Amino acid sequence: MNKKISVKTRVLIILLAIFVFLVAALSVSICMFVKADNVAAQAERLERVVRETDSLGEVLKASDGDTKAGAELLPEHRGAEVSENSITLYYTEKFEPSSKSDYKYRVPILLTPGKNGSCDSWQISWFTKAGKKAFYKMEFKSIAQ
Amino acid sequence: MKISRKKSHMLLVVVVAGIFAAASACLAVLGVFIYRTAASDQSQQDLSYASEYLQKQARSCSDAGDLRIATLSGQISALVLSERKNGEDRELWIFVEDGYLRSASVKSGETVSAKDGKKITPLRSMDPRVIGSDLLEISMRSESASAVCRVWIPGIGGGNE
Repeated sequence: MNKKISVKTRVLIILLAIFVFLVAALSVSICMFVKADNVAAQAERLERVVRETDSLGEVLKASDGDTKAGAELLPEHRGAEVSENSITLYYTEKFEPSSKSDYKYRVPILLTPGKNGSCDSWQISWFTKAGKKAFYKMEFKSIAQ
Repeated sequence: MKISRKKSHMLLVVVVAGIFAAASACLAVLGVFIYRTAASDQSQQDLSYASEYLQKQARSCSDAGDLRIATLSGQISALVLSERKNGEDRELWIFVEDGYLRSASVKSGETVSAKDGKKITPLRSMDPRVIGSDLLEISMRSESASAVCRVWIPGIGGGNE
């Protein structure tokens, strides 16, 4: 029972322990790096979406409750779909204007005209191509000029 | 073929070192990707900051006539805001020079030099223009990204005046 462990075996055990520790530490580090990368990418996307939505809001305010006038102020969006109370814009993955046939993000803009001189309501929502729920939404009211 | 004990130990050490080196390389590659994302994020933040600064300055004009687009030294596009400070008519020139969005406040009518500009945020280019009668559109480019900032300023194009 009282068998002595040789020096070589001890060295091997220590080496194995170091190896296991290093593998565990590296695995945790890699997982953290990947997670940080994903979070950073999501933050960047959200920042772009917020900035673009803010910019669209200014265009809609300038359109004075007229979706066609609003679409005309966005000439780069050639693939936009415009109706009386809505505009649908399409964007590529790099947030460049796109069309319905090839897009990553869909942005329906809905107008609820104000009645009896009250404010117009606008709603801008962002959807991914596959997503059914908007991942970002902004609502605001504008006074008819 | 039988491998001696000494050789098997050596082989184990080599395998362990190899796995460690591969994992380290993997970590380094991941680090490069993360650095790229972070750098891109920084570029986006520069654009956001520039966009917010320009919107804030444009909205601070009490009248659309206080804002105009001009060129500095006949080459650099600039946004010029007229303001009255301490009973003195002044102009705030906002432009991009030497990789930075800059602003320079001078007395009305004084010549502005690009060197006078105070650094606001890193930016490669800025191109303001008026669309329709109410919309100021500023195209911006940072180190690795571009954006368009729009500000609704009634009457800026003279349509409502």
